[in-house]
Amino acid sequence: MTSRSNTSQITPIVLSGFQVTCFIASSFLPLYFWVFPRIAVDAAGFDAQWSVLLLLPVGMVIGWLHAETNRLFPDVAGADLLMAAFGKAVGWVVAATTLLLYIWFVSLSLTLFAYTLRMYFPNTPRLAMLLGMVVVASFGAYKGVETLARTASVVYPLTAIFVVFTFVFIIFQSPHHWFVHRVYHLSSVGKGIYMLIPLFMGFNITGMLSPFYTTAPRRWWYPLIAVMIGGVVMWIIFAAVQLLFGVRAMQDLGFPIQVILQLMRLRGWIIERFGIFVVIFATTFTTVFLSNHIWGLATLLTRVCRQPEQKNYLFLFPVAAAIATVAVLYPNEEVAFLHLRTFLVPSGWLLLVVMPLLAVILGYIRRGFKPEFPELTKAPSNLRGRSW
Amino acid sequence: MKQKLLRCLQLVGCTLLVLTLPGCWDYEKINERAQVIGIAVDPAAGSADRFRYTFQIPKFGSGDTSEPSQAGSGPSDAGRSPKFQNYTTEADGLIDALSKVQLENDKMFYLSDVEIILVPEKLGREAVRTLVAECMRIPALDKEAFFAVTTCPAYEMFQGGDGDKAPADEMEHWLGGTMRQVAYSPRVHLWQFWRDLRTPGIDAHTEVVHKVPNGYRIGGMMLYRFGVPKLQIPPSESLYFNMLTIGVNHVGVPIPSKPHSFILGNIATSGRHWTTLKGGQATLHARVEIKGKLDRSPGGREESLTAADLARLQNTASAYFQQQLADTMEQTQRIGSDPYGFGEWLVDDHPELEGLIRVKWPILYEKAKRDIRVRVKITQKGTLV
Repeated sequence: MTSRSNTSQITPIVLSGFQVTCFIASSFLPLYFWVFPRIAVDAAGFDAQWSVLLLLPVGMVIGWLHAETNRLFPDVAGADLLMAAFGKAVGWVVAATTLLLYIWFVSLSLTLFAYTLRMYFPNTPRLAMLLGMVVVASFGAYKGVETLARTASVVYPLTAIFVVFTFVFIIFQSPHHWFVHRVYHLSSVGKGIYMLIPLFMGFNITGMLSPFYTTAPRRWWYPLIAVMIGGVVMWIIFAAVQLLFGVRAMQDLGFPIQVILQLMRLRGWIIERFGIFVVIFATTFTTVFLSNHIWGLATLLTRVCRQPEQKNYLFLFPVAAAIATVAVLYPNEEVAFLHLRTFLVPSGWLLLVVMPLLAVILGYIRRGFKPEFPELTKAPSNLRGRSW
Repeated sequence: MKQKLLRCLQLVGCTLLVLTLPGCWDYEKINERAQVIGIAVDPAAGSADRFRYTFQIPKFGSGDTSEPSQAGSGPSDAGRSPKFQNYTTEADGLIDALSKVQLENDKMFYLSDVEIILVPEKLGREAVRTLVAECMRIPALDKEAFFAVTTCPAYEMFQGGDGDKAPADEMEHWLGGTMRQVAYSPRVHLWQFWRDLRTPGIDAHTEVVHKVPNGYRIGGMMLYRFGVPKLQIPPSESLYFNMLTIGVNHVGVPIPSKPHSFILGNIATSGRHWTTLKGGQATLHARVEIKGKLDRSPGGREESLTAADLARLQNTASAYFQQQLADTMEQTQRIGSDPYGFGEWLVDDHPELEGLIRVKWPILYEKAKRDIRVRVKITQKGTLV
């Protein structure tokens, strides 16, 4: 795997385990982040909390499938990985389909975030927010995977710590205990999990990263750690919302996370303008998320168009423009929710579970359980994958 | 060459970005804003769908001596201008009202610092629901604003005060603080009231603001049933409601006993409650732990207390608090209004009962048995031996 370079010499990029984990972890969650408690309660009713809790093991399975795919195909990424697993023709079709679905998914995430931001900045046009973020994210994507990984390794821990701290604080401030004490209907739990799976959309970017950490020790764990952190954060957030509002009231809150953050009043404390901190962290995180996916999708498109990967910067603009256009075209958040429920949920299952599962099975058939790649076992000593 | 061009472009881009960082291109100074700190909503005369809205805003700057424009300004001593100003108008909705009062003020109204929303107890059920839903819907409105009911027209409460501090500010300070008297009133925020109005198994309740000759006084609680105010509980009994729900701190309570009463001070409480349902009979379980110090021993005697004395006092105090808690709970049962959330606990335990609880909980609650246990621990007996 190579990066663009000013000289003709091609430098191999090796990311550290921490960077890979943060890169993956910052590539999912934003789609549902502001609305998932409502979606969980709509789908599972009183069993919503169990659905959110069980998302963690389900996410672990998804993480394992992606880690295993990367283990079986460490020498290729993105479209090449799909073609190596599914065969050239089918792999190309799968890559093209993935590309379209992901552009839609990223646009939808951006749209929902813009609607959330509108609550803080009611006079700022949505178009300005969307375009501003797309431009900044495109610039990040242009700088390449190493820059993105470094940024993610700073932004993600900060955001995760901030979110966990905030919501744990809210839990301790809540005057009531509204946890449902038992499982009501197993089918509701299943329905909740089914509807919540798009939380992990974006996880497929793991498949784009494989060659960048081929030689890293414990590489198998990185996707799993990313999922575990995400799952725990989701559970803490859901618990905070449920403890404050209860199940029934949650159904009427379009953006429960945004409402709950309004209830934080940290007076005379180190953070005086809490709302501004929320906006800064959320915007930074979403921009990193957007950057990662613009880079990933541009690279995927490069290979779908059968161009060498080094030319991925030529495809940044079409991808960014497509994402911005779809995001701008959404007339209101209810249409976005409708598309999310109707189309993105089944797409999420297809992209996150069905496709990686098939890739793993085909990988076992094509390459055996323990494929060996002698040329990949050692990176140059100065670039060897760092453990963390 | 290309490198230099790129560097130049980057530099220009960064400079432009830095220019946007201060974010003050549309900045308005705090004293140029009309920051609404209190909202009072009264029924309008002659129309069920219109309301009389009163907005209270603080006036910043000592040099501001302009007289308030219209109805409802605060009292003004000779030579001293009040620190707040009220704007009143009749309108169909909150934002509609804000637009109308804007005609009287050249400063833009903002709702992000609303401290209290007052409604009179006579405001109808649908009106309360509509108002609360409207307030929750407005993203900029502070959902942490307190929601209180008044025993007279709500706008009258904003007329009070000595002019040094806005009444809305004072009320917020009173309710949001950790002062001793807070124990005699619940502290319900807008979002909590909204949640309780629509959650099965719990009835909304809120603090009460009374009119007194020299202004207002906060104390006691108003119980709602199906969104209608039903019963006012006096401050002394609200204390026992708070002991079980939000907990109280720093309070002193005299405990009657024979032959002499004694006083427990600096009380801190924690409580939990749950419900069981057997054969259509609900039992309300409540456990309260109370820690306090002995501020006055029986008869005010100064002799040292023995361990047996302390145990006896603890038992006496426990029995007394248990009785008080039971009496307060019984009052709520009489009108079938459950502000504690016993029914909600039951729904959490048996989600399949939600439909039943939604319809029949008031009847079940009314006939429910009580199982209350209080444990008092005297943590300190003072510096006298």
